[in-house]
Amino acid sequence: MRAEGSPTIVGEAASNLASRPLVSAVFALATAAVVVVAVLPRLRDDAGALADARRFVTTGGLTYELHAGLTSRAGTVPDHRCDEGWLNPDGLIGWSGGLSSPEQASPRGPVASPVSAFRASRGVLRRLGVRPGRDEVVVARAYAEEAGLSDGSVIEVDGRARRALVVTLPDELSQYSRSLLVPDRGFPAAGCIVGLHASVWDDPEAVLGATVPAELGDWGRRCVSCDGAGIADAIRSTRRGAAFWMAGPAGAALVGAMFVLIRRPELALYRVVGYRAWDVAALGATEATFLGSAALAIAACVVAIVGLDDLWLLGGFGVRYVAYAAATVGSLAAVTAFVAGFGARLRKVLGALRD
Amino acid sequence: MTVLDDRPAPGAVVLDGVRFAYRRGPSFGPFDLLLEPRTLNVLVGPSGSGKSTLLSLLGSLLRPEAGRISVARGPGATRAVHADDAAWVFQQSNALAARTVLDNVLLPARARGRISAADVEEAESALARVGLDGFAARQCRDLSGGERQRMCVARSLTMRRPLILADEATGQLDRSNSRRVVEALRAASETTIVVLATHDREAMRSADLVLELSDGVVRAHAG
Repeated sequence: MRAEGSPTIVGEAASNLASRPLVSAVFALATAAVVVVAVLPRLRDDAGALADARRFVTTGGLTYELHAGLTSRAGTVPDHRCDEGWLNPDGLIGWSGGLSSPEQASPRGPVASPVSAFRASRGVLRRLGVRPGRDEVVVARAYAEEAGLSDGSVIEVDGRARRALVVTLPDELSQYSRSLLVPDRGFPAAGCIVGLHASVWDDPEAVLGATVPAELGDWGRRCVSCDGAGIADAIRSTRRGAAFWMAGPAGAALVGAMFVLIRRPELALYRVVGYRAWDVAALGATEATFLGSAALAIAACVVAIVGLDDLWLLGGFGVRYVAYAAATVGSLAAVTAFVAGFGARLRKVLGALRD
Repeated sequence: MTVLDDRPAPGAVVLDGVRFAYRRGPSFGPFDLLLEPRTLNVLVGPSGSGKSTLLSLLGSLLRPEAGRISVARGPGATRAVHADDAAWVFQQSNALAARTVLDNVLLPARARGRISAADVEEAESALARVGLDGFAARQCRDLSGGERQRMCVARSLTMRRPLILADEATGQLDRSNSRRVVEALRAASETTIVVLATHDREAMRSADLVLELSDGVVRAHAG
């Protein structure tokens, strides 16, 4: 005689967990420990990255530029392009945005050998000592010596004669040591207007062309929401070199398998009284999901208490950690369901119970 | 041996020319057998004689090498027996220890869907039939071994299956508790076919039909 309707799963799972509070608590705590182990180091890394960024802001190295035509006063501007680059592992802002414009100029004239010319933002050029408004082409010192150029030499780029400014490039720009850096007249860096001091927006005309310190918090949020990658990622990926968060799903899967092993006699009973293998799998998964939810609540408390000085990080990077949490609980539930359902073949179950 | 009736009653289980052999083990058959509805059938025989094998055949966990096991549906109509026709009671009582007796007996109803008042009534009635009225709210883990077994019998009743297969269901009980479990199975047989495999010769006295297995031969006689 087959089942006449759908078996009750959710209520049964809740009743089972509630009827054995000690076992449920042990598994919830085990899962919570797994989540904390998976998440906390990353949170700490994020906090570390932000501390680096804060230090850099304090020392004046992290700046944003304000340009004519920017009108948004929003804290984050996701519809604008962010092109300033990221913090490198040392906490320095990268130069990629200002120098990696896809357009390249074609140098001619005194420059004999083919050489790339990159459009560079005013911010980059300013740091290299080029004054705003000057129409100079930056030539790395090593290359200038090789090509026989000096300050004031005339270089023709795209049909325009320009004067050379020979500079010693910092290490961060060593990859451009055989390149020309040409002022980018269009300067499309319209995206990086987040995190500016409110005073900027109070009187934008007064500060146009100036560099102003960024508010760190907004900057961090911008990295997540606008670019899909965080400053913490850049630092962490270099420092750690491993995706440690996988400890969460892997540990949760192990907890799920252990859970089924302990629950096996009762799960087998469900099979005996008429639940189908899928129903048993669903029951196991539901119990695991309840446990996982409780575990996440515990883990969230632990992380909030011991994890961070900057609690706003939980909000700023929340999407990522929600994804970690979902992966962890999902692994727990999936493995529980798989093992419970796979082990619930009626003949096997009955054979085991009769032995 | 019961001679196969030409017209078994609806719900009867019919074994027709059944033969089975393990690769290296006991074999029996071919034999014919009729298990009438609402009867307690006690299966006895020495260890290794094939009692559990015969139960497995009845419960469709094993397939006979030859012959057919079917459930009579009406005059001349039968269908093959399948695993969902049998409710099992084992030597070791299997139950949700931390749940109430009523919860355990309601499990088959939960497998069918949402619990109704009629389901609860049926479960309480089943408990009463096995002598456990008043036990519904008790925790299962607080029951004695015999009480647990009777609860399992009650649960098998609420599965509403035509066949209850009890495999050594009294094997771990003292004489007093064993007698009560047999009484519970006797009560269960008022609505279904019960087959009890046991070493307990005393159970034979309660049986409608005694099936003795020995040397691959099944001998049936009235209890």
